[in-house]
Amino acid sequence: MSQNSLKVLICDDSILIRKKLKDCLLELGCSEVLEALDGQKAVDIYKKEKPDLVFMDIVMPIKNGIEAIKEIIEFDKNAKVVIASSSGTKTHLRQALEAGAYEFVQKPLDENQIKNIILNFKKED
Amino acid sequence: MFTQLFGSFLLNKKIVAAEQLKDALDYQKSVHLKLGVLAVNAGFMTSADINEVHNMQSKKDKKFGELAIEMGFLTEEKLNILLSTQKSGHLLLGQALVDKNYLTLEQFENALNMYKNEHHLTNDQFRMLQNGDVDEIVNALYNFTGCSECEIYKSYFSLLIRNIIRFIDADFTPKDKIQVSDYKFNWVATQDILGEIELYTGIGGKEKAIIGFAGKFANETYTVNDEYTQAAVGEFLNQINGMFLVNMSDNNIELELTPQVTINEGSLTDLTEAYCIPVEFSFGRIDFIISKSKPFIKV
Repeated sequence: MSQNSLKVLICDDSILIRKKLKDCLLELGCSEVLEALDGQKAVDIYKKEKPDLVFMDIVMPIKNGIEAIKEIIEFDKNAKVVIASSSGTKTHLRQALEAGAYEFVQKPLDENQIKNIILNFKKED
Repeated sequence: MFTQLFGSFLLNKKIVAAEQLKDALDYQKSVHLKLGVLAVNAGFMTSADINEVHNMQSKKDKKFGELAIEMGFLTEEKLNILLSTQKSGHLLLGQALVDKNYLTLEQFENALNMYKNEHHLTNDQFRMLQNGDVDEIVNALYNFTGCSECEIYKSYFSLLIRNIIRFIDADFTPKDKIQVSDYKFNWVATQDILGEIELYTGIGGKEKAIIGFAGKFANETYTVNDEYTQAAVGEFLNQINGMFLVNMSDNNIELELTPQVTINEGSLTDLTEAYCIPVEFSFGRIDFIISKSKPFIKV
């Protein structure tokens, strides 16, 4: 898979975070960026679109990020989900890792952090 | 810390014209700060005292500081304080306006006093604001007493002030806390902190201020209060609360957040041990709310 064919799903209830992250990912060369505004929508989109990488918030309405990641991993044990949350507490970190998160980053995200995540993902792939 | 804010204040009060302010801002880079402006700013001397010293200087060949001490306006200690004063931007601006004859020293003194009075600031609080010392500001303004979570409130607002500087603007005036049981708003973003410590938090303001605040946080130019501005203010609140949760987690207190909610026009009622912290920015006033209980929301 080349970076040009990278399909990424962003799940965050903030339209601002989705827009900023999407602009950044497109600038980094991702070919397709999908958006979900809650955990349930992320699960639905994941099952349909099978993105290569997911950026997931934790605190969201309807279904939170931890529940969503569990369902995504249950559907696809190789799913790569990066938790991007402003509340990186020990509990959230443990829950995210137990649920199968690929990485955990504390918001606010900067461009370099996102770039490194994409580069690391590419190296491993 | 607050050149821009003081500049806007002078403009809003029609103390200087826009062209004069612009000219002075350009000129201030090369300005040489004089003791008179420093002494008036510190509240050690009035403009009339300065004039007396200047008059005496025409008769005696002595330095300003030396004469001011001789005439009893300053002490050695005060002079040393003035000489070690940080070259704050608003002082350079004041000196530039005086040098350019856009303001007399008396008008500069009156403008400073008007600013302090309007914001209920003592000379000490004003000095802290200029120096941008967050710990001093928090200790002076946010010493909560008589509430069950006083120390928690203090650490919350300390975090808040630091992150306003980090994410929004260093030019602002935090005003004294106001205890409230109701809070009427044009627009507000709220979020609950749940767990061992339960708090209700919010950010409110009028449309213009909300647009300005959102634009600073998102690093965008917004002109209307829409879903992006509301998301930006909500996200700022979420980030503050998220950092608060991380700090608490480091102390082995695990808390949770609810998703942020935004509401147009209404009031929060039945707040408990609640405080409003108004913060004045160049674009308007933003209120930060903290309460022990979740209020009733009337819209």
